[in-house]
Amino acid sequence: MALQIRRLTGTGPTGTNITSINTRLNAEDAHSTAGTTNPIQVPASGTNYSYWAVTRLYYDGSGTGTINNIEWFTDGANNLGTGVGLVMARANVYAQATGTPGVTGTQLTIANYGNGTTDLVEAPADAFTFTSSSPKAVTGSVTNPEDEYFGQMVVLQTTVGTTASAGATPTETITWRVDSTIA
Amino acid sequence: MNTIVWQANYKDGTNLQHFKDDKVSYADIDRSRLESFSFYKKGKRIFTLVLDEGQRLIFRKRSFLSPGKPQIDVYLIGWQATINGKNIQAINYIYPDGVVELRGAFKGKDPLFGDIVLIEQEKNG
Repeated sequence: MALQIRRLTGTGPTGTNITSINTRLNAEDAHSTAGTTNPIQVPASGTNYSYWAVTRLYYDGSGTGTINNIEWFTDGANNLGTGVGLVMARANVYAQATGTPGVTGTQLTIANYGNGTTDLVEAPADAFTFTSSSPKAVTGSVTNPEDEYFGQMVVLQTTVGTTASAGATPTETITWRVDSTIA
Repeated sequence: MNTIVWQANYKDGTNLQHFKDDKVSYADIDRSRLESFSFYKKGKRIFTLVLDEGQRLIFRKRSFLSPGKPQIDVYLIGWQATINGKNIQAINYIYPDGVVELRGAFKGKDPLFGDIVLIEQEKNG
């Protein structure tokens, strides 16, 4: 029985436990730790995007008590390299990522996500503005969980500009913080 | 073997024990009779909080999860009390290495030392 971070992909969606592994934001609606089949193309002009990655907390097993007070943050420093960024927004509903595989994902915006109005809670912001001293509050809680998701989703997207270099970027770390009365 | 995680000790000498993965909940503690609260690690008692009159128990597991990194759990055990109309807190932070740090009031949105969201039983005493 444990807390998990899961990445949601596909129509189902399928939830992949990424608690103990990394997940790569490529130009495909799939989780991989090191996939190179569908990288994001460096654009000749403008910006290309990864497919957006929907992540959410999951309680594996059953627990007696409450989990609440969810926060999300980064280390505050973008080390992805020149021309590469990371944006995030909270979502109330899962929406499958779309785009052109191996080229670019559809830009994450309120209009492009889900119902186009309320499914994405806010306009995406630079993920690195959310730090341990200024975390993003994630709404939601669960009491007596039984193999279930809880809290809002956090949707991530990598942005790639013309000045980006080809190849894999360094990894970045995101952190979820939760309080639990389940010991 | 199922190991004990915490024990609520009542004024009349009885107690409520919570074992890992059992159905006894923190919300089940009878706060009107609570005298002290003991926390165990690997079945061994490592910390006991003795409550004075008017002090209300707070207990949380505060977890930090990052993909590809070990989960970090910090246990918060302390009390809150209303003194002259003001909510006062004293919270012990028990770190994974066993070090205990005693702090006062919660620090806003700070991920480690920030506010908790009270459950119903904590609001009522």
